[in-house]
Amino acid sequence: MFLTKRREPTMNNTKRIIETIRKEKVLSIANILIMTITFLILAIFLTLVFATQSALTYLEQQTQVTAFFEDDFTEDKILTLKKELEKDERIFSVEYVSKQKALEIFMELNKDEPLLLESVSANILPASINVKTKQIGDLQVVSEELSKVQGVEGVKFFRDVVDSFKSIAKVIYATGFVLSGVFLFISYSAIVLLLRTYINRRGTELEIQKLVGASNAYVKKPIVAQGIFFSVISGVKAVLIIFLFTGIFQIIYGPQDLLVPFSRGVTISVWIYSTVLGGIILASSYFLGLIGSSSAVKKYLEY
Amino acid sequence: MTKAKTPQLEIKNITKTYLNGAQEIVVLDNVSFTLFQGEFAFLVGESGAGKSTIVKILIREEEPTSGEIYLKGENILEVPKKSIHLVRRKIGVVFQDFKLLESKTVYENVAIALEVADTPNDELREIVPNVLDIVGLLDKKNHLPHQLSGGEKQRVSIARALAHEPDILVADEPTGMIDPDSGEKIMNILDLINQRGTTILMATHDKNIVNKWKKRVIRISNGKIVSDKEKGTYNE
Repeated sequence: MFLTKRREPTMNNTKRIIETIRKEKVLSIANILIMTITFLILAIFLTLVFATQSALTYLEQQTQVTAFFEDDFTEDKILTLKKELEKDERIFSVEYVSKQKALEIFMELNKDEPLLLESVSANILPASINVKTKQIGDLQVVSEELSKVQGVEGVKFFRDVVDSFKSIAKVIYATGFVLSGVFLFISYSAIVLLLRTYINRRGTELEIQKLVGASNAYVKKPIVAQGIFFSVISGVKAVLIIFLFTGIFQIIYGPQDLLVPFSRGVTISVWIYSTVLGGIILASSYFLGLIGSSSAVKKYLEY
Repeated sequence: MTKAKTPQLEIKNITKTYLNGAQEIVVLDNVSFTLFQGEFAFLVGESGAGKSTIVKILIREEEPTSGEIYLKGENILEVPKKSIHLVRRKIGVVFQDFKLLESKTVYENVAIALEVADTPNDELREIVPNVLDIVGLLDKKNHLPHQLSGGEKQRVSIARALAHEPDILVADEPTGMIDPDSGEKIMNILDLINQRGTTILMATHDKNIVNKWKKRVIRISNGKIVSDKEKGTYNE
């Protein structure tokens, strides 16, 4: 009998949200402001992590093995070796630097020292290939393999630089991962705290509603809807600010599209980056609002 | 004599205990009584005797350690927690501290009991003035609680309890926080409601009211029912 007596209430959540904002203007504005700042800090942090990773990607791209060839190792043989290397799955790119090209580079680097340039000709500079690997960890092995190739005079590979770079990268990735988790937790706590403060002000009302026959859904739904509303509105404001700053950067940078490195050899428009970041912020705001308000209203469902 | 012999509320062997450290505190000890349809009964006893605990268990604000409670033949203690609201809509409760929302008008405070049950607006507009009329507050429907006396606040609480036409009205010390004259008015209203057919259980330790109205008196002491008399007095 009790279970079939009445249908569940349908609620006009929008009306209740508007009523709450009207009655609690100061608290509502304060909530939205603090949540907006929280989401902006989250966006800044995510951007820092992304920028760090982009920098690491860029540095990885610059790390290479250079193999210098003996003078009697002909260009045909070098180009054959280059083709073989390019078929290797570990290899990202192979660049051939002929004797003539090496001279050009040398002259460019030392253009302010004419005496030095007079004594140098293409013949005394060795031809070489610059090899980049997809995984930075493969550089060591490729370097050892190249040094054993017939005709290779020497291999230049800054092992210490690569090793320390790998260590730094690991620390940065791990720190970024931990800090992301910590910051999401702080954001969640801030939102729960704000919603709890807000809900506690309505505690008596919720308690009375329960005691006179309100279902858990009747009490919970408008609170959760309000939590999501405040959170998403704050998220939207944060996203608008992100786009505003993107626009400012674009104006400073110039008329051409501002690109940011995304992964090896791939760059994306800063507008695409901002859109993705905005999506992450909006999704975070929705879920933080949902989880935060559900958690904050829990104790009032016990009545 | 009871007005009708159809059981409305049957409380069977209700026991409630708390653990205070290692010590077990017995608040209710095997409490049993039955209220019949249309009956008016006082539940009397000193403060701490267990009256309010019975009221809280009736609306499932607290759970008993053991026992059964039947409302019109259905064991309300078997109703799952998620459906407790359906039980509460069948039991109207008048609280000693009124439990009114200070920011809402008299009308809105009564309407809330119907709104939570998704009562259609046209039905709500018909019921609220009716119950306000019963408690004599129709002319103050737009007042806020702080503009009312203690007795008037309690009448709003009664109106709210009546709004969803409960099977039984339970009043927990309804005259406890108001002056004797207002208490008398509350009793007149409750008696009127009872005469219209609603079963009433009123927890009180107001000796004068109990002795004057000569209703059934169920006496509880130290968590046990010690007497149950028709047309009894406070000390019997």
